[in-house]
Amino acid sequence: MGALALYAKYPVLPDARDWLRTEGPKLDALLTDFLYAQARDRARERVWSALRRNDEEDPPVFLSEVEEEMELVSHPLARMLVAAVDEALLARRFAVAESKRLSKLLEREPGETVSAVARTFDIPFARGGPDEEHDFGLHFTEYLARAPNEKAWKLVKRDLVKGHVWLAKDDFVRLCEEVYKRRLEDELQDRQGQVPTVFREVFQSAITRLKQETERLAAEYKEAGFAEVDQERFPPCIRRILTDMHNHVNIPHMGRFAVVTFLHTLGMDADGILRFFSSVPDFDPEKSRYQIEHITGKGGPTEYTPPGCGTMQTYGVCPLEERDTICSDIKHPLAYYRKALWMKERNIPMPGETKEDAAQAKEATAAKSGDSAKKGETDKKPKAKPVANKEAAR
Amino acid sequence: MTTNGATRQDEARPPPQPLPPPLAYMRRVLRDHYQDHLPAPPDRFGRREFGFIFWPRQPGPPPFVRHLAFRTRDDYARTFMRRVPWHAYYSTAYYQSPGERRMVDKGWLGAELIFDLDADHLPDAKAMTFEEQLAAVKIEFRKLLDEFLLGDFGFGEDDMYLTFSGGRGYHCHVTTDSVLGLDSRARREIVDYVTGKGVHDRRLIWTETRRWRDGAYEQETRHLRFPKPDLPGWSGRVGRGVLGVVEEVRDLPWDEAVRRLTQYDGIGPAKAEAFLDKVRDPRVVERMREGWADQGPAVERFLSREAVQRGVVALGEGETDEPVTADVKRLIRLPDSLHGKTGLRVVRLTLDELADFDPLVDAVALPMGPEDRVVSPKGGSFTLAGERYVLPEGEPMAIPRAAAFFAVASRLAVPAER
Repeated sequence: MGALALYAKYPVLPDARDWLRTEGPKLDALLTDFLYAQARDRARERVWSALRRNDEEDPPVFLSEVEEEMELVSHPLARMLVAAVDEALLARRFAVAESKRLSKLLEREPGETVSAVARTFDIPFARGGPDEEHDFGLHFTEYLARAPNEKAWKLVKRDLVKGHVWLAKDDFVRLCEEVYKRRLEDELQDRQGQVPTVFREVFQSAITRLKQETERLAAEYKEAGFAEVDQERFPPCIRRILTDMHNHVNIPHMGRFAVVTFLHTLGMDADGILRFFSSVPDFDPEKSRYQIEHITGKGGPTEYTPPGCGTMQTYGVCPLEERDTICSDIKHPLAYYRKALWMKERNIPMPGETKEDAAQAKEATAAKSGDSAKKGETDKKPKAKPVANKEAAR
Repeated sequence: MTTNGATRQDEARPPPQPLPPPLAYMRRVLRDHYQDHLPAPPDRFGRREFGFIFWPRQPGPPPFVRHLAFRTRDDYARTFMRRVPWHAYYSTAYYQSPGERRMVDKGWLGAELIFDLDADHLPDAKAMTFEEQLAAVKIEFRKLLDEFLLGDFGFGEDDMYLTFSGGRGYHCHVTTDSVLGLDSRARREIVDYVTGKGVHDRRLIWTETRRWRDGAYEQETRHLRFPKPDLPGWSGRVGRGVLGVVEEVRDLPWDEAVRRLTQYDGIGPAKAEAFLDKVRDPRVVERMREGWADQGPAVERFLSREAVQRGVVALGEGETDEPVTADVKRLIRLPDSLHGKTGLRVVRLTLDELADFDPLVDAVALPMGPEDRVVSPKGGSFTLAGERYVLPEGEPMAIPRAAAFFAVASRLAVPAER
């Protein structure tokens, strides 16, 4: 493999950056020369497919050095395009898409290439683990600082050897992906809006259309039906607290606070929340009313918002064991709900669901929303039923 | 002192009332002690927050004053001697401005990684005497140090310092640079590792089915597999745990072993006896060292539960049900200060010293010379500095000051009127 082919795949490598600086085309040529029209198209394509989350795309195959060069130079162009559009959602999606592309490519590479990329990301690692399979080692503190926020990555799932976690190549590549994602998102965030005027002129129509589409998605995302409460899409933490309430488990203060503020933010008022809780055994409406009204702002000076994932974890309310893949992408329980609804809208299976499940879930909602008069009841039903049965059985 | 809401608050309150006699006695003894034994200011002294529990001058709980910071050692010594704290704490975190009241204004710079082991957290603490609790918590502390901190986590002795808490536990502070910046989430991961939370998902023990031909017949045997004891981390720990459990039940009297096994769902007397029969054969245990055993799923569950249980450390939890370790803003007892409920000193220990350390002897800091008269309303007894003290009900008695303070502080007695 020639050097350019390597750079085309991994434009983050220092050598690739050097090549761009010394051998690569000047910005002027890149933007106007018809020789680079293909690179400009590829840059637009990279950004559009990131925004559409089109990550099914196969890794590129290059037939010539020219194609390799086009792929390589399209990377800085695409980054500039994201900066020009200046939307946080686009920056985030671009970071996700580019880091996934990186790990897809890297999985097929020998250890040396993986090492070279990891060094670029300043990951302090060692090679030569306790066995052949687990060849990439990090100090556990470095591991914790970089590991994705997922169950499979819990420290207890790894065997520590003198303070070091030894990973198989695939896992180490996944770690590189996570680091690249965070780093790219930070870099893009810093450069938002900072683009030379000539770039804007050349990419004018792409910038406008991308901005429109991003704004549309962001608005849709935000609205995504907070009016109707869909318990199936609640984050694991809120589901756990609700289940515990039904099972007479004592809920810590932070847990009750989280549930009430969560429901309140979804648009429920104090009465709605009281009704929602009324199926809970041992529920004392009068005692709870004051608490709920205080939290929702009625009768108190402040309206509270639900705590973020960090706070939930600090207070031990986040059921770390039950976190799923959505949790790893979000930092706030509300963001989970928003994303889960969004996925339902698009028939994307939830963690632990099959595609068929997802399609059925969507149909079910469609049927429900047609019958809006019964909306209040559908909220309570799934919870109230099993409890009633249990009591009947006694 | 850079900020002190406490002084201002105190001035706004009604005039202080005299302390009740037990508190007045304790305050006097502590003041005399600190006169010559002021706790040395801890390292990175100007970056730490201090918190003191003072004496209740009106009814209600004693005032706990946090957010104290000292610019100079003189400031620190003056406050300490003027107010004579009942309990003294300092932060394991370092701050830009430790005296600020709001966390955001403090400017968090990092925090030691701490482990707080207290007899309260042991599963059967309630049934033990104070002496037994202290012995049990020390074994648990040793396990934390040897198995996890010095073992899996690879820390050296120089990376940490240990203290006896003055009460019923031990603290370990890991102070090496690599841990100071860890956030709460990362610390919780460490807690989960040490307490084995989530180990069961790892399927470290599993059943393997082997098929083989015996002449014309197809045979099938099921084998229990588990990690070899010499593997690193939790794998090896579970492997060692399995062997430990097997050896333990093997050496029990037969009936007791059967009882122990049949406590588990799915293990009836027949299964238990078959299992015991097998593990009494030395060759079977030999094979198990290689990670093999021929047992069913119920025994598998029994072994994995018990093996993990043997490996975990019972870590303490704070007021918010949050393990102390995960709290990056925690206050912890000041080394060399005296615990206000025992009069025992918060003693710094090296690993070597820990081995022979007997808190009820070695942490006694108050004088054994002068005697004070105390009276116990209900009677009671305790051991301190190798002496057994029996306080008869309602009868005043002169005992050495260290013992008298211990009795008063633990509410066993009150100072006797002269």
